[in-house]
Amino acid sequence: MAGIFEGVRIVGAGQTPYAKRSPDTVQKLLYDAGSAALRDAGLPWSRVQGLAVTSFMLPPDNVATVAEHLGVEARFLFQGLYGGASGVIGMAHAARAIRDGTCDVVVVAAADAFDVSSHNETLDRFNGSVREFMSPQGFGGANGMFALHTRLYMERHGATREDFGRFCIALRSNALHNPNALFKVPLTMDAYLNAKPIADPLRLYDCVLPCVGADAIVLVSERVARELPGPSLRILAAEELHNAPANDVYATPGGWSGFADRLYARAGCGPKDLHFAQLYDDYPVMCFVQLEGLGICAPGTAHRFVRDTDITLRGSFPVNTGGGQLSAGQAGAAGGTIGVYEGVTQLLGRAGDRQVKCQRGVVAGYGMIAYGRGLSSSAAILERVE
Amino acid sequence: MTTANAAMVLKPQPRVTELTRPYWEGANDGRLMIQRCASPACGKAVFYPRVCCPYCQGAQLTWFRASGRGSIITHTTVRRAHHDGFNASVPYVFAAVEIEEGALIYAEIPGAPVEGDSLVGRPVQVDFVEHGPGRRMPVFRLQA
Ligand SMILES: [Zn+2]
Repeated sequence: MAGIFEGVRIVGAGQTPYAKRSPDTVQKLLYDAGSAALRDAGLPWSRVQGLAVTSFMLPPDNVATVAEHLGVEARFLFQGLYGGASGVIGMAHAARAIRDGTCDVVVVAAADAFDVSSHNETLDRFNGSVREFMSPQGFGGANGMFALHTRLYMERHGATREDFGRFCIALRSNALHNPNALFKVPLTMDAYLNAKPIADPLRLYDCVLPCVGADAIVLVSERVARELPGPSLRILAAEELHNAPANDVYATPGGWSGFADRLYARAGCGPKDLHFAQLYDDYPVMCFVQLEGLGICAPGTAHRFVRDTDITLRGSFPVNTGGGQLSAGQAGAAGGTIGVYEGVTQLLGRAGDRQVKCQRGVVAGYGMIAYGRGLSSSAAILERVE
Repeated sequence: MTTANAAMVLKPQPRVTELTRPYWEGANDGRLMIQRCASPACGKAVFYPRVCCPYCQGAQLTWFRASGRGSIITHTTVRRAHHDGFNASVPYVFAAVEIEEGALIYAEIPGAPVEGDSLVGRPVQVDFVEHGPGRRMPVFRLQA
């Protein structure tokens, strides 16, 4: 099938273990994840002609100095400035560069090395509106910001704490099959409901744990893919949308509903044709918004969808098959690429113990916390080439 | 950090710029100053302070004194401070408030119950509290 990313293939994915702390710099993490992805693909670093890199902790370095550090002569560089939406966006930009003949092999990678306090410090001065009109006012960080969205969702749609709990427990069950995940023990409803309160209605297990880690994938031209022994994936469609709807923080948070029709039209399939979703799970409420925005369930019904649908690895519609950020950890900007890594690994059939049966799935991103919400949303539909 | 130390840490202070000066000077004087688009076809109230109207991209915004009346769109009880300057304040209620002129402002709701019934839709009135050296901060208080 001819598509907007014709001639482009994804051939590998790599991930570092997620850790609470590590002496590694982001350059080292990017190198390790990139190396793992290239090994997965069967390609050496010497073939790499482009990089798409996202990392909050990278400045004063940038993607060009990363290319220098790693010794990569690059025809294409992209630096993700959209937080957790950048993984999908970087992948799409890289795919356009390959499609247009600019280059043949691109590594898309994201890494960060955060803990709770460095994450708070970064967020505090994330951008002007947060620094001047949310942080001094006492917003409570990302936890407070998404507590506001969570309460609104509960009041508008009748969702309960147990609904969010079901979601988090399912992701934890998935994480138990991911050797790289930070959380290694099952989560019970009792533990979820009675966890330490953080920002009402959010408690501890609603909130991602800032940590250290990196994820990467490898995109190549179809010509290069033919040299390789392994399977490959195509990108059926990818979309991004920022600041939508403009000037309305609490209309429908996130922009997925603004591009879902175009995404599926370009992909030539619909939500019923997907075999999994890898959602951006900074907080469970945003996954509910993505399930609805991406048309996987009707608006205002994600809490009922999660009651009625088994989203674990054994279920009819697995979500965040590696445990997501909620159970693997949130390695800063790598949080926007963990779902890309996981989706690619599943579709390549290399997910080991947590492999689900799949040929096609959606990966989504969300990021750039600003005045009351994340500004940037992204999603792509990937399919294994048979 | 101990409570005694936490009390000595300042809350994050805003940086007053040419753009935001009318807002912060107004707060120090006990007035809630908001921008409004000067285009007659638009006329929307705008917050946070902008260089142009984010609804119509008109270049002219004028400052006016808002009534200070509004209602709570959504709220949380912050129990874990995002900054050491708030360690001595937790738990406290923080809310998104829509002022009656139609702009969204984030602020603490001092005196609001930290547990219990939803405060969504409750009317509030602006007040101004000490926030740091030479700095008062707009907050909102629940109305009966
Ligand atoms: Zn206007």
